[in-house]
Amino acid sequence: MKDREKWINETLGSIDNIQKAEFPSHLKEKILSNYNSKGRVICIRPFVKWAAAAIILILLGANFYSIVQFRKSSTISQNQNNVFYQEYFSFLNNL
Amino acid sequence: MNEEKFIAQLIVGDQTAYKLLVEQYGQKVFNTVLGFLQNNEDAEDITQDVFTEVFRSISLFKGNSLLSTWIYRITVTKSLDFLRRKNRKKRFAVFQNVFFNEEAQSSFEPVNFYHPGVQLQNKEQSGILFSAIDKLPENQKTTFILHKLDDLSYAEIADIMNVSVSSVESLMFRAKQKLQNLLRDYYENNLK
Repeated sequence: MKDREKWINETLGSIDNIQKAEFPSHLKEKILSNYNSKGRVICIRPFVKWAAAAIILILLGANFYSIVQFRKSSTISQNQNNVFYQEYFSFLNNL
Repeated sequence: MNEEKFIAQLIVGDQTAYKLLVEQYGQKVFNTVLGFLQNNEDAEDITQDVFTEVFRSISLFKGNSLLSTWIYRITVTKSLDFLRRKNRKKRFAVFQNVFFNEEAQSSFEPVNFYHPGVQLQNKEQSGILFSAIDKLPENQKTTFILHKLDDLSYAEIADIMNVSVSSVESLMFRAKQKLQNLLRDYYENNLK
């Protein structure tokens, strides 16, 4: 019983003064060369992503609005032309 | 160098800062991963993964904690993920053994890892202890490894694990108890 408990305590204490494992130099080189070969990883913050999405939406909205406005104005000018033609030809007919 | 300035340099992709980061944290990361995985090749792979992840997400680091705490968090998460994947495979192998009537696995696996930082006279016993550490639940294992192998204080471990210091104390106490029980079993079955 005593031997067992003594052995357990010794085993638990066997890593008490443990040294840190050495960082292999080849691993360091590997990590650094991986980084250098891949180049800088471009990371986009979520805020930037959302801002870009919002700008794209605003641009799409502005385009859509201008198309609608253009169509409206072109129909108005067409109507104005029609009124002019009607008046002009009715005047000619009266003559 | 000021930590904020250092992080800013990492974010813009300064190679010197990255080299400094690897030099400063390489050993800590490798040592922690080795404690979890207990295999040199796997530890090297996961250490590389940790640094890739650190660099990939450094711009997302909000500075709510110390850089070292954040790196330790990534290290622990990556190590535990690897162990979960490995254990899934192992469980499948045990399942196969049961159905194909092969030799069942013992509760205490044979010692096949010797930590390079252990003193020579403790090599044998530390090997048995590492086998027992491998049997601990994740939280207890994390606490024990960070405290014993990385020499971190309970407060630092609490920060990394996002729990209170008293929780860390309790996890450490339970880890020691569980290890004592496992070692008792080992003694009864193999040394008596």
